[in-house]
Amino acid sequence: MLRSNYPETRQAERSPMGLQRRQFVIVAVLISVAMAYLVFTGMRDTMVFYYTVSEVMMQQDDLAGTPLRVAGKVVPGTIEISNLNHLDRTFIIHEGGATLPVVYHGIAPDTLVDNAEAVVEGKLGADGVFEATHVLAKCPSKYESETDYRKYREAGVEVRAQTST
Amino acid sequence: MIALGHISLIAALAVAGYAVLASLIGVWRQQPALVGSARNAVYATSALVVTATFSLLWLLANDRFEVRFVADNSRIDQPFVYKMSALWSGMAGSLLLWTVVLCLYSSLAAWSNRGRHHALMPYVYAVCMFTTMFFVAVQLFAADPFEMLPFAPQDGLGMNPLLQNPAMAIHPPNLYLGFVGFTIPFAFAIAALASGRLDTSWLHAIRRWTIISWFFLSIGVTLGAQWAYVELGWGGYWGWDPVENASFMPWLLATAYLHSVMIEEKKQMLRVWNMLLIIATFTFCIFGTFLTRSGIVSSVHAFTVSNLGPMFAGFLALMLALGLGLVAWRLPQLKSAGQIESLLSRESSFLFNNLILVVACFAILWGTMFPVLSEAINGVKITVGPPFFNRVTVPIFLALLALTGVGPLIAWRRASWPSLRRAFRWPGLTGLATGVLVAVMATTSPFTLISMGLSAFVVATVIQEFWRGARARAESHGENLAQAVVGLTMRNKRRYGGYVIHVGIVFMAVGITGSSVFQREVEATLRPGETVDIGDYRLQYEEMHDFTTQGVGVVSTSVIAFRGDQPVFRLVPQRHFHPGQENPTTEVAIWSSLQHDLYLVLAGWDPSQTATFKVYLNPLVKWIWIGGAVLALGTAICMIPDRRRSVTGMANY
Repeated sequence: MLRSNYPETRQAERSPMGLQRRQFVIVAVLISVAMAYLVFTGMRDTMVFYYTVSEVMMQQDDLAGTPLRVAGKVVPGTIEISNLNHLDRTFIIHEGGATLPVVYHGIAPDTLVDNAEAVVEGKLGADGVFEATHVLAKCPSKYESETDYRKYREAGVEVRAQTST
Repeated sequence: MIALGHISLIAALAVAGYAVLASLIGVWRQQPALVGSARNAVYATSALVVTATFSLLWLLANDRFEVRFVADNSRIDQPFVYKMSALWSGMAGSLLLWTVVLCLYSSLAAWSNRGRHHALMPYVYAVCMFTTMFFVAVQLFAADPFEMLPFAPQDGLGMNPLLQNPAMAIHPPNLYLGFVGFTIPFAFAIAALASGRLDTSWLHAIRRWTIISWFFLSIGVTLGAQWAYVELGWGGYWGWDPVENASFMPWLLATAYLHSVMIEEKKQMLRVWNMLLIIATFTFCIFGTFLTRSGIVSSVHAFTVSNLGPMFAGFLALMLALGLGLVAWRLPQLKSAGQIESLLSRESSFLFNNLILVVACFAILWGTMFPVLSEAINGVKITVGPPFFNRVTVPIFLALLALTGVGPLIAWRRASWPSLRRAFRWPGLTGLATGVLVAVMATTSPFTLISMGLSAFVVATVIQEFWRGARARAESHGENLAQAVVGLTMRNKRRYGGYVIHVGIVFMAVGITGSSVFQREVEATLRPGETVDIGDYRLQYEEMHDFTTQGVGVVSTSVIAFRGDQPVFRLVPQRHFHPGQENPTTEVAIWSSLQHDLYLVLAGWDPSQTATFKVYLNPLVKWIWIGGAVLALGTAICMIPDRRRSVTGMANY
């Protein structure tokens, strides 16, 4: 409408059909292909299998040496911290009746405590001990789902019978 | 109060339902009285949800632990501020906060547009109130903030100590002010599509809403990073956690929209694209809320936890279907009036910036959701972590950084080579020189050189723009340069505010590059008096002592940093034993300068006073926070109402 008064626009309309459009499509396709390549090779080189402890123990021999993430609960009383440097620690996680010993060097999250839901990332050694390079323990904002009566008991909060609402 | 809160929510569901029906019937049967009644119902819904929110705050303030939410998130000796911020430290309360913000926004939109946009507003009411209904329903049926415990504990479990931090107290509300804000543009988009009023009036109506939402979203994301940095103690600020990605993805889409909408306003192009961006941004905001609150990605078997997942999935599917269906229906009316004339034009640089932002968003989505996808497809959960995200996003963001510099310099419609040479000469040389300088000073990867070079390039483009504009104005208006800069900015706030935002982004890019490429770390187990070296610093461990303050047990160590022989500062990393928490929390000590941060963590100790420290030297981190502040300033400039229509302009909010 108004825009067609511009000489450039008229010129563009006269130009061979869709030349610009074709250029754009080519550049857009190039960008998309480059991105797809980045995503594809990124996936291939960095993907990590995510298992629970029992799943790992079922295929222990196949998994030795592959990068893994393993989820389980910390067996109470198994967290041991080295007295030499306070950074080497060992603990055992369990799930589905299976257990997995873990060694980790580094600063563990504050949330790594007895019974915490832990996710360890690293490799399973030939000796069956998991060498973790990263340790996650359940994030604070996700505590709620298992809130129940027992949790209050465990936390040592005094409970009185409810008499009225 | 429990009953009041509960009843308010139930009533809000009913009244919001009435608002949806009344506005839709009102517009279809052309009964303005019914639409007016729907508007009043919007106000009434807000009043009810505000009542429910105050009820929950009152319950928190008065330690009513028979309410599960209060017992879970508060305790008697929790500081009052954190009793209040407990509102958003759990899922049910967060959803209530979401709802109340949405209601207040809806009311503001209804009130400020009264007497205007008659064809659009009924649909806007309907979409806002339908979304409100959904969130209220989620609370009533899946995550009830007023749920009672079968007994009344004497004290609550308390808020997680990690969340008791000033940044964390204001980070979620900021994020939600942003997330929720995009509901209004979405509602207007649906209204424009449904009513067929597809001219630019709806775009003007949402201009402020998008920029304000983007403002809060940006601040929210930055504060989240800052919280992670000072509180989590692993030396970094961004871990590509699903929760972080959830807030970042809508930000990318909204950023794309803020650019492409300029082309629509100017040339009536990209109209379908902009519709899709708004619909997608809203969808990602809802999805992000769900992701941050459900733990679907991080936990091993998440879908079974609650009926929250199906409810959100259903709502998302419905909103997407509605949006895409309407776009498809209106496709003939959404034809572009103009076309892009040249590959060398600002339009095309915006187009590519859009493409890259959207692809970045979907690459991050892909990485975030891959565990869930792979489990659904072949039963094996496969995850990708920071290495994947860094690999994919670093080249993407470098390309974006380049376009940040190119966009403002390249002419609209069609740029000529001589004009490009003139525009790019100085910025290009500055960038090149900076790249060379970095290469000479530090042996590093090509990515770092490119990043630093591009950063300098972008800053140079901005300076050149201000300089040229201000010099011309100073001559024509007889002002000095400083006056001219202010006058220039005030005359075209969106343009020059945008440039300031670009500078903020560059500061952040510099900080991110510096801290991720040049970070150094050492670990040391020391007896009092022993030292450890990092960079130019020698850290001497002085002593350790423990004490109790406000019910919190503190183990405190004191470390003196020397540069050469001079003691320059003291760091006090601690561990805090919060009551009711099994493990001590890490209290990092950070000494921050423009050059670098010294970040010290107390990793462990034993009774002989031997302590283990982890020390990080993080270069340029402070520039990230400065960049965030500059970005906020730039956005604020964009938000200043125009003086000549200040009366109606205010009402535009």
